[in-house]
Amino acid sequence: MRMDGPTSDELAEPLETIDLYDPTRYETGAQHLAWHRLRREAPVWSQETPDGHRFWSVTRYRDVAAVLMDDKSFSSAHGTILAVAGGDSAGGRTINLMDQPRHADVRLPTMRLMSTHAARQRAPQVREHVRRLVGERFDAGGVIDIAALMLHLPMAAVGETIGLPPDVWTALPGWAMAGVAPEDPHFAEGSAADTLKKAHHRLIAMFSELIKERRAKPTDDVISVLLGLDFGGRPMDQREILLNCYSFVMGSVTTTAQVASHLVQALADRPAAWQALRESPGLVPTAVEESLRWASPTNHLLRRVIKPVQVAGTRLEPGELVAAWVASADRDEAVFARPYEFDPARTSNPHLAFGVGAHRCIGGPPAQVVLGLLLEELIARVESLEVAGPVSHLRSNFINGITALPVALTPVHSRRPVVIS
Amino acid sequence: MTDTPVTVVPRGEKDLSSDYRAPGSALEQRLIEMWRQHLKVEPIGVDDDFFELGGHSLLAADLLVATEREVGVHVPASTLFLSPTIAELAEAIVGLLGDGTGA
Repeated sequence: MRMDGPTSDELAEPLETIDLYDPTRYETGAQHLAWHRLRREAPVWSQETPDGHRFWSVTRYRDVAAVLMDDKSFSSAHGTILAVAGGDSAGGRTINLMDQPRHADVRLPTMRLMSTHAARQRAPQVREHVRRLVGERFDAGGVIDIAALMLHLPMAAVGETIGLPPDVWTALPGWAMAGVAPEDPHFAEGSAADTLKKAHHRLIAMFSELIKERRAKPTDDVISVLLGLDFGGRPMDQREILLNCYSFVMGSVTTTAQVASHLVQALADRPAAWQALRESPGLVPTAVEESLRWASPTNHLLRRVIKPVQVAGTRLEPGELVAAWVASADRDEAVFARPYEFDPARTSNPHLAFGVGAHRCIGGPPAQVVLGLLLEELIARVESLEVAGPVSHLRSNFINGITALPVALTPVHSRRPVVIS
Repeated sequence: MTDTPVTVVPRGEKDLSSDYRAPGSALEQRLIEMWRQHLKVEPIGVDDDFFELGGHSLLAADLLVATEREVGVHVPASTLFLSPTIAELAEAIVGLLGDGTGA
């Protein structure tokens, strides 16, 4: 989605024109205008999906955080994205679609593989992968499609951790994107239904093979951990393992790449911010956090009410659906000073890009590490960058994606030598 | 699961792009019986597409495991996902058995 915010109240979207479902609005519009208005005037907002499922939307930081923190009142088992508001076919069976206590059975053993400590230990290896991906491209300069390139960044971060061999790293990101945004023409192969089917076939076929290999020879990766874990007193069955492999891949591929693209675009659009970073590479960690807040790659997280609860003064009953708009929370002026400004030096930055509470993204640490490494490579190799053509956005109300981002890079080494006379 | 009786849907109720063709070998017959158990459709022809018969990717993964158990060879997932008919699957299995790389 376009990232512009309101420059004045007159430009914020009028309530009657707001539609938070329509995926094309995220492709062509600036939904931040709509969220801005909702935060001020309608902190609990009701709408229906095209197939008739009513959902409430919360947009203020405190309400989004409250919904995500309260997993006793709000369940993830029904589904967590609006596209399947009627119920997710994997509901109750994958890490992201489970409530306690089963959720902890999967989360705790897999989290160990992606802890801050584990991510830092793996950093040298990840740096090599990142250099292989971007080094020559950045050094060569010229116009490159950052969106296409960044699709491969998540594999550098967690490919090995999940258990995906490098020979699938090239094709897999496209399948994952088709799986999360089958309506987007960029990833479509036929109708949305056909696209989704093909993406699922390829991913499930690949996981089937990998599961077979890991059963024969377990190693220290997510697939092996899934095969060995105690799932409420029994092992996971084949389908549960396949579905969780799918969740881990989707959770990493479809998100981190988009933060990277938004980060590069934010810097290309803001020469002052880029210069500040180049002069003070010590800002990389705060810049990474700002890119996470700025991009908030997951626009919303859906929950279903399982016991009566008050949300922003409105009483909700069991069975009702609530979309917690993380992307809106991360622009809430009650929490973030100058929320529509990209500030690589921002210090107080409690963004919700990874969610919060029991389902907070377990891939957060490797994502932070790989984004930092990418930024370091960019600073080391590139002198200046600017957007050099039309930018297109993903047709999805769930993932805040960029599908094309042509950027002209001037590499550091192309500077003409200074002749001292 | 494969030993329990199943209620089957007549083939005519499925929207298929293939005409019915009967199995020509014992292997094809065994595979048809497995597909019938998983897909709950009858009769299944050797040119029928697994996914047109109502199969989905998770069911295909189940069937892959069952097929390997039944025929004793490692069947690459791509065989079933990309060549999803009994005739193609049987041909691939015969090839795998012939290689001596299975079992």
